[in-house]
This record gives sequence, structure tokens and C-alpha cells, in this order.
Amino acid sequence: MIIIDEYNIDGKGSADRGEYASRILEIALLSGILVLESGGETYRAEETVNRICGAGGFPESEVIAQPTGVFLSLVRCDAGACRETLTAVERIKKRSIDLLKLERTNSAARKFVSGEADDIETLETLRILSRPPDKSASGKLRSLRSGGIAALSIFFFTLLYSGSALDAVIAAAAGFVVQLLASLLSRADIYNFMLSLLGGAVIALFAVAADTICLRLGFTGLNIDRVIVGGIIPLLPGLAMTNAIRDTMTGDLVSGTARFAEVLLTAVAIAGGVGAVLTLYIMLGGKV
Amino acid sequence: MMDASELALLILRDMVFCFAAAALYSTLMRSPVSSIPPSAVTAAVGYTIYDVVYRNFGQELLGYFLGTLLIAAAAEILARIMRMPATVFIFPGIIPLVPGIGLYQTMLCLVRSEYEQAASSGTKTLFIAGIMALAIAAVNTTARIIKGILKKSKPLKSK
Repeated sequence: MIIIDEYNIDGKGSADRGEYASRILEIALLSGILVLESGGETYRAEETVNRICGAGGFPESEVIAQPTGVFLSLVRCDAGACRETLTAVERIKKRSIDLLKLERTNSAARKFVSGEADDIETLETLRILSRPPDKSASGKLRSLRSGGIAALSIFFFTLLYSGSALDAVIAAAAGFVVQLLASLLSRADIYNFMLSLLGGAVIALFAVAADTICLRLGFTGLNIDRVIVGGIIPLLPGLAMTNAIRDTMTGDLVSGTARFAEVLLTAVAIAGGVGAVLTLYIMLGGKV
Repeated sequence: MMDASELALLILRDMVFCFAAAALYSTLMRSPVSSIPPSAVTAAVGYTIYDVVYRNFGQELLGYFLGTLLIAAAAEILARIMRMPATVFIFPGIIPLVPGIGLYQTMLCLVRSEYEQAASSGTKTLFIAGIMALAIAAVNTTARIIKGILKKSKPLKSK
């Protein structure tokens, strides 16, 4: 039996209590949202929310987390009987893998649960984390930098997956362009599906263009297949697929199925983009 | 057949490629800077385990399972040491093993209406992803059980 007054809201008036409860509600909801937005597992989001609710003095609360949103009921109990329920729902529109955000959210939640930070501090930290990154002056430089990193990463992946040095260079160049395109289009709020389709097409275009040039120069060391496979690595939802199966295994069936649908659609889009360009190339007399 | 030293050199080369690729890729996933070197090392070692098992014993799925098992175990240990969620180390670690290319090839076969090939590569991809998820889940469950035992065995401190 849990009585709220045992927790740190001793001696406060009912107005203060209401304010406190709504702060806990926001902290719990925000942390769940942040975990899911930054690529965390569904069970982790629910666990984080439950811990926060428990530490805040609402252990009877219930949460349902899904890749597309979080539903949270904060249940206020008094002398063993449930008196009041505060409910919040928030939609998740954008999901990407952002391990720094995940780590920060996790540590903010942990500090709150262990009592190192109070509710006001934690709420402030989470609000800062949930702000969208500034897209102004340093934005262009940052997308150039991430393009360069993506290109280098593709270079090594292509070599690892038995591509030649030339394959790796072409794949890296294509990956650089796709990464720039991605950061350009993310500002236009374009669907992930379109981005995958376009990305696949651009990489395939790079590959066939390089192949044509190499053949003109009488050079046959280029392998179109390796270039494409290397170039699309950052677009491929392999990690997402593993996570989808993990979600299903832990019993988060709705999340697992939803993530699976996303994985299949992304893969179809990439293959469609690549397939369209390759088909066109073959029609124009090229050899793959 | 290659002789042993040649094979060792090849494995070492792949480890270097894998380390570099995983380190750079984890930068793209915005990993905390201090977590990048250990997770890239785990990625390289995990991939090597897969590679060795696959090459020497011809067991591809077993290779994926053992490689992922090691990565997940290392991630749980690193998570305790560095006080970060295990996910921060698991994601970059399994990136070289994750069957993204198989997924792409399956869909490409479908786009080209080569259904038989699509079915075979699709099944394989699904099994690989499934066995990797299984390895991660197994390590995660074990870690929880160990954590529970450690908590219980400690005498309750003054509360």
C-alpha cells in the first residue's frame, strides 16, 4: 500500500500537489518519447517511464509505448485507493538513431530515480534534450562533416565486404552525395520512403556512370554490384530489422510488427531505386 | 588453400577495416565519444569470430550467433563500467554483422521477379536477424538474472 505523502510532497497544499503530479507526468512522458525518438527499444522506454513514475510516487501508473507514440496514465493513490488519474498521449513523428540523446535521457532518468536530481532539474534537462537541433549557421558545415564521415565509413565497409579499392572510392563518393541529399531533404520533411528510393537510385547511377567511364577507358576492375552494396549500407535497415525481432521477442508485439513494416518498406524502396536504374542501364545496352 | 600466416594476415586486415568502419558509423549514430573506441573494438572482434567460425566450420548461423553473443556480452559489461545503456555499445557493435545486404538482395530479387531466389535469400536474412536478436536477448536476460542475484545476496543496508 503506497501513500503519496510518504514521498517528497509532504506538507504541500493540494495546488502544489497537482503541479507536482503534472511535472512528473511531463518528465515520464518526455523521457519515454526521447528514448523512442533516439532509437531505443520499446521495453527500455516503458521501463524508464515506469521507474520515473515509481520514484515520483505514482507506482500504480501504466504506460504503453509504441514506435509511433506513448500513452501514459499517472495514477494518484491516497491511502490505498486510487483517487485521480492524469493521462497524457504524445505522438512520435521522427525516429532516428541518436545514441548521445539516448544516453543523456537515460542518465537524466537515472539521476531522478536515484534522487540525485529533483523533478524541476530533470524536467529542464529533458526539455533541452527534446528541442530540435538548430538548423542555422553550423547546419551546413555539420551536414558536410557527416557526409564525409559516411563516405569514409562506406569506404571501409566496401573493402570489408570484398570490394576493390576502386569500388570503395566510387561507393564512398556516392554515399557522400546521398548523405548530403538526406540532410537537405530532412529539412523539407520528406518521407523516409522517398529518401530511400532516391538514395538507392543515386547510388546505382553513380555505379553505372563509373562503370561506363571505366569501360570507355578500357578498364575492367570495377564491380557494379560491390559499389552499390557498399554505397547503400547507411540506408539499409539491417539494424532496424534485428530490433523489430527483438521487440517481438520481448512481447512488444505491436511495436515489433510496426517496425517490421517499416523495415520491409525501406528495403523495397532502396531495391526499387537501384532496380529502376539498373533496368534502364540494361535497356540502354549496359551489362551488369 | 591458404596457409595459416596468410589467413591470419587476412583476418587482421578485415579487423582493421571493421574497426574503422564501425567507429565511423557510430559517429553517424551520434555515439558518445568515449563509447566509440570500445564499441568499435567489440565490433571488430565480433565480426572476426563470425568470420572464423564461418570459414573454418562452414556454420554461418552459428558464426552470427557467437559473434553477436560476444558483442552483446561485452556491451553489457561496458554498460556497467561506463554507466551508459547497453544499447549504446550494441548498435555500433553489430553493424558489420547485421544482414542489411541480404535484405536488399531479397527485395532486388522481388523487384526483378526472381521469386525463388527472393524466397531463399529472404529466409536466410530472416534467420540471421532472428538469431542475432536471440543472442542479444539471451545476454540481456542473463545480465538481468545476474543483477537480481547480486542484489539479493547483498545484505540490505540501513534503509
